[in-house]
Amino acid sequence: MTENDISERLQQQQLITDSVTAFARRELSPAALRSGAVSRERWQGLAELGLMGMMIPEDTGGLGLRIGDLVPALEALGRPLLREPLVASAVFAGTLLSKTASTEKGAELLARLAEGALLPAVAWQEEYRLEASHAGTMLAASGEGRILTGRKILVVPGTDIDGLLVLAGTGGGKALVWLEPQAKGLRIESGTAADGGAIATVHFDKVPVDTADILSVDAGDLFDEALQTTTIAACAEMLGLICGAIDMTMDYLRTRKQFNRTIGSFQGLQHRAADLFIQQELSAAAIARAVADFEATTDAKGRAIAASRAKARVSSAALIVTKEAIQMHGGIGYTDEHEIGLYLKRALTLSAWLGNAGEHRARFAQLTMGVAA
Amino acid sequence: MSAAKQQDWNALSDEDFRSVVREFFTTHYPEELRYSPSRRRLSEMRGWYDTLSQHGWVAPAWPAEYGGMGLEPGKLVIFIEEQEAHGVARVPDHGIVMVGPLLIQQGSDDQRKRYLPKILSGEEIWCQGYSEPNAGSDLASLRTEAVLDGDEFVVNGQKTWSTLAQDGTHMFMLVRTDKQARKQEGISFLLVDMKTPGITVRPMRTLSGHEEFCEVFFDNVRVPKENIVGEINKGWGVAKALLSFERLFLGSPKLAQSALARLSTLAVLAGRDRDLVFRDRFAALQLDVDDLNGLYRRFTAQVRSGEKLGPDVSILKIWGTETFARIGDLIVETAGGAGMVDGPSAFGNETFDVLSNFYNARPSTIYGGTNEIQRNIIAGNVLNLPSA
Repeated sequence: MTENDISERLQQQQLITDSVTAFARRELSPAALRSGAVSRERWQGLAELGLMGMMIPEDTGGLGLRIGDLVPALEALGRPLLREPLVASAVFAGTLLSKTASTEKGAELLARLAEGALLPAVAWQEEYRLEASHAGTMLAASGEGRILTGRKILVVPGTDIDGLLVLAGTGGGKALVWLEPQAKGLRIESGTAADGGAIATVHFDKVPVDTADILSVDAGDLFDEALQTTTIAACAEMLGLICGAIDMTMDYLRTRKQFNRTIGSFQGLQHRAADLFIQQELSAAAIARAVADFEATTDAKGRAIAASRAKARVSSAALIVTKEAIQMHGGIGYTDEHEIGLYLKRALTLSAWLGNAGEHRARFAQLTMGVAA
Repeated sequence: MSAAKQQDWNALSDEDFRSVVREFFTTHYPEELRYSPSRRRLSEMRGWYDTLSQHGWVAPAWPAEYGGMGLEPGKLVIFIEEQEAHGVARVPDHGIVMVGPLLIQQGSDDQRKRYLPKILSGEEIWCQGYSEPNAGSDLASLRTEAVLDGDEFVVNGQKTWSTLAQDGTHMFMLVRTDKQARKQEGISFLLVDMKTPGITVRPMRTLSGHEEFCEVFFDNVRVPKENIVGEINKGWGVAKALLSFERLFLGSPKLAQSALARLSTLAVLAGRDRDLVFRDRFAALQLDVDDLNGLYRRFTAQVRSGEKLGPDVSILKIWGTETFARIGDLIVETAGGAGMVDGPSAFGNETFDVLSNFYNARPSTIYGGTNEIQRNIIAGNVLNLPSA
């Protein structure tokens, strides 16, 4: 990259971050999390900010920015608890579509996504454990065509979607398949995540797959890279959540009075507040390192280490911070009417999604220390 | 002055400067003193001090006109990074790190002429006299007093935790010169020759078994009036100017990094390196150290760009020293029964001192402003929580 490219990139990043921050102030509030529903109008608004197209390569009509450029914007949206599945649909599905945009279908879907006219979900996980193979769903030949059989869990978002990107085994490798919700033999069983959002278990009962909808039959590597990109993006959103929860809690400590004093003047709380600030700064440092490593490396192992170091830290920090936030609010923090609880629920959801702190620490150990006994 | 002393280091590119520094340490620094687990005494470091002095490398941060290397902040950070990467131990450096910069900023011409050259040559070694038995975290309540009598101050009182004062030829100290004034306003900053009659130095043995610091007693010690730095009763401000760089220094990842390397060695020696429970805890500590590094780089980048450090730099000292302490704990736990052994234990053909990191961790969370004081600073000055 030349210096010109870098400064152009920084300018674009700054422009998007500024407009996203303004949008977040204007359009978002934590309370919106309660409704559970995704707003198509807001989805469109996010697309108009350029967020859907940010990571789409320039030759396919996007801005060609990288994950690091997205971090400040995601942080700004995470702060007021963005309800819309920007990371799940725009980053995860968007990255997969960018990487398969050489197919006619991929290009078409990507264009719709960039316009804000597509809300896709990625169906990849089959067990709760991150390290499972997730390869039981099979794409198999059947007569003239092919059919998909199996089951996926924890599909985000789990309702009101325009289609699914399904990761399926082919016997030899992995395929990426596009399915629309009304496909024959497809059953979407909606459930609810801790934060009130919809997640789904999806059943495939000999679903016929059109050849044009097979985006890749060699999707293993591109999928891993997209998953790791998404993992770092989820961390950036969680960092915003951490900052938001700390802000709200510090406001409370500065105003709530007991024993004729603002409770924030008590050293017992002050020291714990300082520890929360440390968690916030560690999370930012972990993400910065992960982004730098992710962008500097070209090998799959390096990318996996980068994603795991971020998710291990930030998942843990998000829970530490939001649990303490509840404690510092006292009884009111445990009521559904106070917004601080929404931060805890969102933290529970995002910290477990794509692998929790323990799973990522284990993977980090595996990748950096060699195989265990 | 030799050619080396006149070199304009800042004219080199960062990469070139880094390789010059690396080369210097590789060529000159004694192998047996690398990665020292505890603070080295002057007797052990004398040779290295002389080497630095001969090459004009004693004082990287001082301006060239005073005999320093005159490094701008970015170059200084590179110097420190290379020093740490090579495991270079500190020489007794209170004169270099604290007294020199202070006199350059706030001393008189006479003081600069009198003291700076002898710091550079290593003839004079400085120690610090701040804390007292009843003035620790609440330093401003110090009571050692200096009363003007003719052209001299008469000093009476007691200082403590003076690091390596037994090797010091001079002390920079805070004394009370006005008992009537508000706490911080009656304090002065004084330079004292340790050979002056009436000074008694008593080394204190620490839990680790080393004599790292001393109590120093002052009994009618007569100090020339001109040895005051700055104005009388304005010593608190003089001392405060030294603090934020100290916090960065104390938050350096080097302690935690070298402890983690020792833990990794021990895990293999003790046959625990394939154990899943151990690995999970090691990975957590590795991430703690990595993120400490990330934070440290952020603050050094701030210094490099010429920005002043804010109160948030306190998080470095807290996280650095507490991570160091957690690693020390896991070393003891991983060692099993060897955790009860004083000094090195045998593991096969190798030996390993299990308790050294554990002991070193104890003062790290106390000195340089206890971690409780650092948390007060974050709460009050970063999070804007009200004072008690």
